[in-house]
Amino acid sequence: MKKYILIIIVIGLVQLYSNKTYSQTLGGGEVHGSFQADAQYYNQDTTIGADKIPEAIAVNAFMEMRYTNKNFEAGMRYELFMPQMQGYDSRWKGNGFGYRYLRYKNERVDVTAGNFYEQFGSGMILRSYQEWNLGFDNSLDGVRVKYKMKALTITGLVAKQRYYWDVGPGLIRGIDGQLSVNDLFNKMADSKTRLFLGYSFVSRYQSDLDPIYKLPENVAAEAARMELFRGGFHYKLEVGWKINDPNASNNMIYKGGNAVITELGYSQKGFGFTLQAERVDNMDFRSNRASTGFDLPVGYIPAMTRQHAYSLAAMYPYASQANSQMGLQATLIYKIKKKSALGGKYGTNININYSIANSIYKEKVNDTIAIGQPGTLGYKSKFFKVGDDLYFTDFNIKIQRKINRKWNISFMYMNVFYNMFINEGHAAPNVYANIFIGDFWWKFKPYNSLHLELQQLTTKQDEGNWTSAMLEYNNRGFFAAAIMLFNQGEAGKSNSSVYPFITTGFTRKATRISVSYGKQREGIVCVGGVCRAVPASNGFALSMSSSF
Amino acid sequence: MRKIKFVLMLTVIAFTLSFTSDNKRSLPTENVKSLDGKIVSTSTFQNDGNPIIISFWATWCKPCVHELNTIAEVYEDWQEETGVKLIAISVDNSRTSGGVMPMVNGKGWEYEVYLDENGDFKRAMGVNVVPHTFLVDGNGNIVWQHTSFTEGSELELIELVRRLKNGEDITKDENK
Amino acid sequence: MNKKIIYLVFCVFVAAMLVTTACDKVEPPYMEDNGGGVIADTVRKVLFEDFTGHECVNCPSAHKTLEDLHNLYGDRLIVIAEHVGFFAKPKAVPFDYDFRTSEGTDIATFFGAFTAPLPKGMVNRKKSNGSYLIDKAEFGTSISLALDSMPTLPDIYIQISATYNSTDSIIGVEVKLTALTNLPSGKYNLSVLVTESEIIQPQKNSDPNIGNVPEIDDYEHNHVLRGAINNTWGEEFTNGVISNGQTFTKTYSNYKIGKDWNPDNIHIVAFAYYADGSNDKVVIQAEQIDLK
Repeated sequence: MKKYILIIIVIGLVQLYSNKTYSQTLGGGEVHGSFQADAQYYNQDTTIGADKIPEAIAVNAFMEMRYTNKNFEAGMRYELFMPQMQGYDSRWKGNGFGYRYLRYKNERVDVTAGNFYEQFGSGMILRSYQEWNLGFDNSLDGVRVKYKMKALTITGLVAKQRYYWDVGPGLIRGIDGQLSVNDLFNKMADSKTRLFLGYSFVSRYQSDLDPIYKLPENVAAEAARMELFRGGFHYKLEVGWKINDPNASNNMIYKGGNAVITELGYSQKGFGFTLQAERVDNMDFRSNRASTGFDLPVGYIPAMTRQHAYSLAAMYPYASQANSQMGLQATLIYKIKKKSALGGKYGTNININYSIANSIYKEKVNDTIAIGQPGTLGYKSKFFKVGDDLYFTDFNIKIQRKINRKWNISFMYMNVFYNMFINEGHAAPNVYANIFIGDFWWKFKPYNSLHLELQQLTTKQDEGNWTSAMLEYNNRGFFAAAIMLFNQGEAGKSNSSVYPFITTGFTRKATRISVSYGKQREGIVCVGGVCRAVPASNGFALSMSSSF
Repeated sequence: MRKIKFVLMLTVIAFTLSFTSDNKRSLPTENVKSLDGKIVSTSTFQNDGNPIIISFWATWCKPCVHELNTIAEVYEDWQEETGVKLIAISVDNSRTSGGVMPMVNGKGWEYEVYLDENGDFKRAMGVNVVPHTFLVDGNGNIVWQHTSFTEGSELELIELVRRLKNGEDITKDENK
Repeated sequence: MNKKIIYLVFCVFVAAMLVTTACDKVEPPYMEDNGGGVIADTVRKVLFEDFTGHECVNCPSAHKTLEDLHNLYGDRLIVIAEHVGFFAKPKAVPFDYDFRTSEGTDIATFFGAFTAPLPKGMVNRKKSNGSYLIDKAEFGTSISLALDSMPTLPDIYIQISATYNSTDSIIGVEVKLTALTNLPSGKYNLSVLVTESEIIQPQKNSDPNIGNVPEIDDYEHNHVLRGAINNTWGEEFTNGVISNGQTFTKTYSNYKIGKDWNPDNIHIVAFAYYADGSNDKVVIQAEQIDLK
């Protein structure tokens, strides 16, 4: 694999310094693509749970390319995990073409054969997508046809889902219609109110070879949605159902599933407010009824919580429970006018967010069947009744102000409750934590800036308090950063740990190279102008990406 | 089999190395969603022959928000001077896309903003990490691109827009 | 006009989809009516290795599934519970019992179960979908595939007889293998393992339908791997072609059991497997007897 790293470095350098000026087209078509390579050398570090691996170095890399010629398009992605980096599922190990397709499209019709990504509505019953940095790819491999009319777009697909270097056993068939009501009726065309309706139907076929259970071979799910816009207001509602789908995550019960997600928002210049609510009951829908964890999800039920970009704020993230959750989220964004007393010269941005997630109410079907007993209807539920278990709460407030041309400062306070058993699957005390963050940007010279980020997380549970300090220097495309993360350790014990980490690199046009050294905890890291999710590691790392 | 795959990969790479980021590149056609729910095709992006900046961002990406905030302060001047238009494509998925409109309005941005919830346009443009910013000339060709945002990047950007407006061919640029 | 047609087409489309793909609403009863288990001698039997641990909260649920499958398949399903990895480590009292064995650890490491999230199972040491290990929800399907879709007659018929000397705690075992068909040239191994049932020790648990959450104090651990009579990977019993009717006998007379093992609850498990070639490691037939 050393030669792979070498080749990848060579390609990167050639891309950076290439000075070909003639334009190249291939029979009237164009070729474009991008690549990314990450190589990590691992030191053993038992204190943070970082292991040495037998191969010593792990390399994750991909190169994707697209050929387009008028209405025709062909693309592929070559992927390499030799071996996969820590934190990535071991089934990724290997290399090959994990993604390839042929596509024809014009104004009315769009046909794809091969791998494709698709989302019906908000993705509740069908969403296939890719997140390279998280090692997630559930692309659909089959055929998709889209037909676009003035008011109505219809999408139909038949495919199997990607499962590492294979495909899942389930056959997915889906159809979706998106209707723009304003375009359907002439008198509504210029109306200030805009209304959209949508409907989707997805069915999974998987044969039943189970000797104990009578399993449904065709499992169907439907969803209906509407979106209304008027001036600054908007309202969204999506409702979904699933028929009996006894699977590994719901413990083989025969109850159907349902979900409701709704959102009301209002915004105008300087002010924005959103309120979201959801209730999800037994909607975990996969290509393989036996799969668990991150394997083969067909539907996507997002966590109704804020996605944090600061590492300590993202330390206890809520894991969306597709089988049982009721949640609320409210967000308020307000900009205090500039040149006002409170606003300062440039104005001050205030962002307040609150989210809460709870279990749904479950009661016995009858006296002889326990709740969740396999091979039965499982449980009964009352729609508006809230369950007994609190899963998560998050209150956060962020204030940001540009002081003058050189200084930009923000402060954030966050309070979080985290149900350990629901979110991480092990019986440990629930976490109550407070997080304080100070973020300072100092542009001391044109094109030069220093960025200081201080974070403090205090809690009496789990691993105790954490402190993080990051100092980053940027000069045009060049950056250098040092992060010091300190864990005080559990209360009463003296098992503190320190995670020192340095990184540097530069960006030129669309190419970026960085090297880093040190200990890193798993989480989100925002450095050198980009944010990425990373696994635990201790050692030296090299990263490269480019687009052409 | 491994060796064949390897050689195939090398050939493909070598082949594509001759197609660098400096050649003519038309804007791919994909569907994105406007903030009032309409499905819009990227082929309709136009600015009366003036340059267009296409910036991929997300509400959770601090450098992206920083970039759009920084440009927002000088956007009016930029528009007056060069007629440039900035189209901001949000790659927030359905989890965080609800926060786009409140953020855009809350911060008072005047850009054209679209949602690319499942990343169709992002993939077609070869975007892997945000922020990723493109410069499109009056004829709908992509002539420049850049990832990451740091202080002063916006000065570089407006300089390129000026040169583009003057009819210069900035794809031949060396010292960026 | 146009729009009405569009609407109609769309509705027809949807109706067609709904009708043709259909959905299988299952009416109760939800369990298959399989009658009782089959108890016969010269039948194909499957070896199921259940990787487990006393700290594994989701494992009791897997044990229950195997118990249900046992009721269905009777003697044809032979289970070995291998306590391996992180979840089997002895911890603070009362989880200080050491269920692990060096043989179990070696086997688990080889098949990838040492670091895998448990519970995981393995059927006849055969790969399915590119992997040796299967999840709990696939136990039933995989066992069914190994037994119901294969000929009832095994390729090799195994007979075990064992003696126990209580004075010096020694087990004596004789294994006789009879080929019931011709088998291709290759190396063939015989592995003889010792398991013990009814070991009462605590077990972590997450399923309230099975027992106390988060732990069951007096959990009955069954088929726990205790050791190998002829070492972890067994020994070769032949190298070459096997002809229909050919017999092989292996005798072991000096295996001393552990101090706290209860001979009343000990089983001897013997299985023959391919030791090379494209089917390397795959189990041909397994057999189990109680020591007493």
